[in-house]
Amino acid sequence: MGPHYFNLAILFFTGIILLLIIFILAIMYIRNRRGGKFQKWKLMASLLVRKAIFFDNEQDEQRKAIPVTTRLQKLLSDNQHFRKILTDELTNAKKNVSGTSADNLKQLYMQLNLHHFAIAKLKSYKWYVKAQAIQELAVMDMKEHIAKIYRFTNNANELVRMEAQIAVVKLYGFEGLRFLDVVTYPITEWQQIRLLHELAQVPAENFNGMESWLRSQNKSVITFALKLARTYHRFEIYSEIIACLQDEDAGVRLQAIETLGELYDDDTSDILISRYLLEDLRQQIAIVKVLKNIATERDIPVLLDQLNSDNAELKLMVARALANIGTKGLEALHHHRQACEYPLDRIITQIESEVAV
Amino acid sequence: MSWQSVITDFFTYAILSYSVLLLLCYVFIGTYSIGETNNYLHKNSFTDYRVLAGSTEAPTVSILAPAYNEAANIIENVRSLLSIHYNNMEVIIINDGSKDDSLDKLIAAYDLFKADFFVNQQIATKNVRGVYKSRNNVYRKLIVVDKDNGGKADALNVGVNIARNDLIVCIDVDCILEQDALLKLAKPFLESPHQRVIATGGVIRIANSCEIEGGRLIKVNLPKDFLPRVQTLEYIRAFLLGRMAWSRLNGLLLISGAFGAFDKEIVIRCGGYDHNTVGEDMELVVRMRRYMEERNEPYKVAFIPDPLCWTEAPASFKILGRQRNRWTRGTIETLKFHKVMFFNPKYGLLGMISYPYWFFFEFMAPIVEFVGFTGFLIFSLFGLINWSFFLTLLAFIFSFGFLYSVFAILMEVLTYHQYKRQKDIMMLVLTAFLEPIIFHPFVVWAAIKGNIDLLRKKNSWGEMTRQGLSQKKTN
Repeated sequence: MGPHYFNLAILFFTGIILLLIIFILAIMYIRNRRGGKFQKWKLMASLLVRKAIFFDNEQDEQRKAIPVTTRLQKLLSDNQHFRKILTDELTNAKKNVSGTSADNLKQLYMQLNLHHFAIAKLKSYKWYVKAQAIQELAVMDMKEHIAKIYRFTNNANELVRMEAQIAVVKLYGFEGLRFLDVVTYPITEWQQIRLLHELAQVPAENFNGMESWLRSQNKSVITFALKLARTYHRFEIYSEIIACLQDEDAGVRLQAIETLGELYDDDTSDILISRYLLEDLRQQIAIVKVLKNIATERDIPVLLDQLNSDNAELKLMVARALANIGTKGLEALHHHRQACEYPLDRIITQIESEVAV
Repeated sequence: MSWQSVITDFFTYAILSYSVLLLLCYVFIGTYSIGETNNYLHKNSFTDYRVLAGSTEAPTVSILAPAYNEAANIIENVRSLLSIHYNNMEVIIINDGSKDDSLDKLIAAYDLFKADFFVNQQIATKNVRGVYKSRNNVYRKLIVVDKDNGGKADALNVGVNIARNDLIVCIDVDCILEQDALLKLAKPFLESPHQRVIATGGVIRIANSCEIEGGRLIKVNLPKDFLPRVQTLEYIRAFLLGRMAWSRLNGLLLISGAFGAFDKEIVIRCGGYDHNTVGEDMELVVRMRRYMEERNEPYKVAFIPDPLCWTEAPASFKILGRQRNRWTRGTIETLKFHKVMFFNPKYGLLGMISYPYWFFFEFMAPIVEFVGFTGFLIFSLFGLINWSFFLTLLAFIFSFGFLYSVFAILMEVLTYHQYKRQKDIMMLVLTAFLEPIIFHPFVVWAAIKGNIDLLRKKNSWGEMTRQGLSQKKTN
């Protein structure tokens, strides 16, 4: 390989370096220039949003529409950057207000035909554009477009699907959860947390379908339904929750155990104890954690047996459960044959100090 | 053809082939990382981390921060950790037999008492002298452990034994975390239904010259001194390009010891941190991956490109040399411990791509570079190759290195844009130009010394004296 090849490569690299540096400088220049303009537009958008929030429909009855200057309307139709800034301002404001102010913001959104742009974006081939449009329509309370959004709740793209699921819940509350009947893709734990958060903002009305979700082929639907059951104290599906203890999926069984920690009756401890030996360590620890809160004096012998486990973490949990039963549990702990041996002696010391606190 | 020219040709072509292969790897890494970063940024724009912060369903986290002779700043550092935005967490400070008054200071500042605490020795460690908790309910999340000195790995293992939560986050106690750092690090553990996320790493950035107030980063500045500045560039390149590309491939072998989250159950099943290596952070990730591969359990090591953690970079050649020497030894030790995976198809991508890449282009690169440079210099001196060829070759390598750095700067500007002033970006470009002349030869030399030290069985950590971050005075 001759040096001229290297010289060519060096020239090529140098050329690209120069181009990249020019590109970097250009980006920074454009950003700086745009910065001032965008700031001005943001202020204009924010003033309009503020005007809409405080718009008094009754006082301005003859006007009905929220007054928008011609300059602003022109800017809106000509400039997509301004449109984005205004849409962001509107959606951010809408998230933080309710009642008439929220209605006014929705009115302004429709008056400016911004929903048409969002609906057009639903057809985009870029997933993030689509997902953003779904989010926007949901925040702006565009119930009339639910059918378009709903069909994305089982979309192959994870982000589109997630935003659509959140959107239907935002728009229709618990009724929106009907997508759980058909969703075939897994609902990640992160999405479950988001859905629970969204549901916490709306009244628990039209909350049906739990029984079928607990029998879903989609395991993540079952785990989510179990979380819903314990969050909303759905005692009436207690027997279905018990049935989940037999599920082949370890994650479902774990959720069922944790749910029984919130929804229990007199038989729960017996049922959990009967499952105990069939389970893996993780589920066993979860069972003992639940027993800590629901076990009674009649469970002491069973719990004492579990103190013979080789696993120190499990021992600690069992000892805690016994101590939580009361004086009889603590006495039983002290009389265990390993009570003076390591590690149980140390565990008992810790438990006693916890009880003292 | 004389035997000298045969040797020269062989040497030249061997070094050239290696260099071209390495450059191609960099080109691949650079381009492959773009998609991952782009995807993350789009995805992140939909994420409201406050949802996770307030959720009772969020994973529980134990922050483990080993401390050795950190009395000067320990109170502030702990306060900073306690102020992190996360609901279900505990902060475990492990005083690794400090010779100073770190523990006394902590006891006084946080009203600590020695608690009766059963330490479950799931991983064997040095003796734990005591576990302290606070009487003040405000500090209920704080646990301080006092133990015999055993090094960072041993201290972290004690933390793992004591941690009650599902995720452990290992952190250098003097790091400055972003307020939402923990939320961002915890999220990947909730997102992967088909693969178990066993670890997540975040981007470490250089905090030298930045403004810090009350343990929080107030203003990001580009380091004024050359050495921290060049490391800033190095970190941008490594985190924004390298690790993002490896993350996309699911082939990450390293999560920085300064800040990373791990699945506690897998850590314990793997036996915790290995205190026989100075590269315990990399070794643990490799062992966890190996463990999962051997059990055929689907898994993932995730990476977050957001700047989550800010740390002080060595500002003197002496300290920097010790750090790089240690990193080299850590890499070699890790590769040696897990040599069974080398081109072993049983370990999939880990054995066929990640491990060989680290062997050939992380461990071997400084050696090849040193041997190549010395060899060409000798050949030129003896007239076996002409000087112009030698200089052209140097210019070729130099220009590519510069190009790769400028590309990294561009990615930084396009994504996180931490350094807003044009002057700072130009200073970074200038630093990128100077790096191969001033900084890189030193790093190569430190790596060679690391190799020699390992052969001599030197296994010291190497004292890391810090200057201290600039703290803005508060009234």
